Amino acid sequence: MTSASAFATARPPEPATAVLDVRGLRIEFPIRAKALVAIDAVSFSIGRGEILGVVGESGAGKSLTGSALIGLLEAPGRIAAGTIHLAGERIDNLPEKEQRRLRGKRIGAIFQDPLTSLDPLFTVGRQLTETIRTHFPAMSSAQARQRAIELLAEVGIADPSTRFNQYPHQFSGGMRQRIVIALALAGEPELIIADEPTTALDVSIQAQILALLKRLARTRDTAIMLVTHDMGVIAEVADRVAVMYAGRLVEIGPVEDVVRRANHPYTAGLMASIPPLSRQPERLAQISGSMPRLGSWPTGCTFHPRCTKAGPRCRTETPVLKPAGDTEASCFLHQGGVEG
Amino acid sequence: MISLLATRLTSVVLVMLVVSGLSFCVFNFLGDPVNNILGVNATLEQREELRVALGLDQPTIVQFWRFVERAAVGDFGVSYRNRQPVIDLMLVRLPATLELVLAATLTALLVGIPMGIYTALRPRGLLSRVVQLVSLLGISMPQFLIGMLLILVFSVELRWLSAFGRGETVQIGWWTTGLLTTSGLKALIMPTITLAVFQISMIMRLVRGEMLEVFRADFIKFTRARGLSDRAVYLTHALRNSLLPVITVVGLQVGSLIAFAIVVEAVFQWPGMGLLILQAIEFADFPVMAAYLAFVGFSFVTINLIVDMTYLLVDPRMRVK
Repeated sequence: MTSASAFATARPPEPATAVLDVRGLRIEFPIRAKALVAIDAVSFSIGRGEILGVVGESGAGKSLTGSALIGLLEAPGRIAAGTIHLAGERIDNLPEKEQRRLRGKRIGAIFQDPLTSLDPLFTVGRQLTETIRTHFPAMSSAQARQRAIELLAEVGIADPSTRFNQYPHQFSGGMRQRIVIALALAGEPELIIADEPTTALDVSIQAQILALLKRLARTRDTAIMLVTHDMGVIAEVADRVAVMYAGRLVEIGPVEDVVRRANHPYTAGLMASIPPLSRQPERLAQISGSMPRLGSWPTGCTFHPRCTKAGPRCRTETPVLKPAGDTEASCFLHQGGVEG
Repeated sequence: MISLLATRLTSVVLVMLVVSGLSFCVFNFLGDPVNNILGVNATLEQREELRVALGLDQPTIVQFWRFVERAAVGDFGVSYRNRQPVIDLMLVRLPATLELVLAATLTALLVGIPMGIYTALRPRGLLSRVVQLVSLLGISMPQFLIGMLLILVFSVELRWLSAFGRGETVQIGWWTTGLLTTSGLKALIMPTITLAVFQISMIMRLVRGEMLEVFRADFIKFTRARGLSDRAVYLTHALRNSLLPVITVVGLQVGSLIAFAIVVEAVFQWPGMGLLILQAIEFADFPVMAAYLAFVGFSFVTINLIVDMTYLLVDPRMRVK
């Protein structure tokens, strides 16, 4: 956490210099006549070399946001409103062909389960070189091989030229996730979307993978969007954190400020539910109730039914993200009060 | 890998011993071979002489061993009906059946796999729906009916193709082939289609189902996230991963094609082993039946061995351990 606050980009980047800038993103799933809104009014940006943690419960829309960014929303899901800019260039309205050119080249992806992310029937070398040559068609196969071995070394695989010829099943889970990261780096992307990259790994391996991601962000100046439900992971590596609840961004800010001085009641509840190391609590704090299912979101602030501080205004009006203390929060407590 | 091969070969030998046992039972215990060979009017001396000559006075286990020994070098005795060595009868008929089965297998693979890929990639396309519907017909229609319909249309009505036989054949060593003459190739068309229709439909449905399954796999999503072209995603990664179960089923199907060939050969009067075995059954020609049994068993075992070896080629996970 100390490094996060010491790092200069803990403040949001200027829109002009941001690697990724998302404004008012809304994703819908048209089902029969109705359109289910899965995420709405999501805005954030990530600067060069910055790690933005995106945290929230299952179904809050974090992974969906990631899929939308790499243009891999599963049908019938679609972007219904908002814009996505990559290094100042609008990418959400590009035709599929153009979008594919970005995928893997300018935006890399890392998925949750390294055991199932690699094709079991091809050597890791083959999977690396085919990715490299897709993005750098001018490279000869010998050059691609050389580059693949360098990438394997960069992500911490020992004896890369031997490992190059091995199949995924010959690697441990942690090693496979390193290979997945090498594959994500193959196109030299400006942005990496890491969707729960450590969830399927042992705790000791988690720390290694997180350290690797952090190192890559620093040395390559790559922007990383780290999707997770684990606040510990966020605190470990992220510079800033975005908290999602029921398809909306409820709070965003530097990690330390969000962790210590949360301005949204949901974030505050999340932080309170982390067991303290210093003493054994009688009972773990929790937020009562559970997140509503997709399609049955309440009107107004989607959190109001579970919120202890909700007032009449929360039931009718929908708050938007606005500066609140050291962070930005979408809560009327900081926007003129909850009374209608 | 060597040990795997060794285990497989051991099981091949065991299976073949069991099959020989069955085939030996058919030969020795169905009817009386002495009666079958000499007829009912032979004298007691003649009978006893033949009994000794055939080794029927020996204990059963000794008889079985001698049967296996002879079968191993292709000696299945003499056909009761034709008075010729069974192996000669079989060898004359073998090329016709094998060429038919080979043609049907290739047709099934070359048509079934691409159709399976297409219907998996465009599950809602009009052509896919038509193909799916037709394949349902292909799976449910009995073979002899397909054969007779083909004959009715192309031989009786249009008079394009001959309804029976192999056409002209060319002799290469002991192998007679119909693949080198126009009439031979033309004669192959209808029996091949008849034999292949079911397999095409099944392979198509299998490839389609497997590919749709693989499309949902995480690594396919990741392959797309790596920015690979659709072609690489579908034809390199998805297809290869879909092929393992296809190989298994195709292996089993080639075996059953040899068996199904009996019906097709009967419909088209194709001079292969199926026709031979039908005639043998009619005349209670037990040596031929025993030899055919051993042949079908041997074919299945060999094909299974090839399938297992193909697994090793396709799936690296099978190669270790």
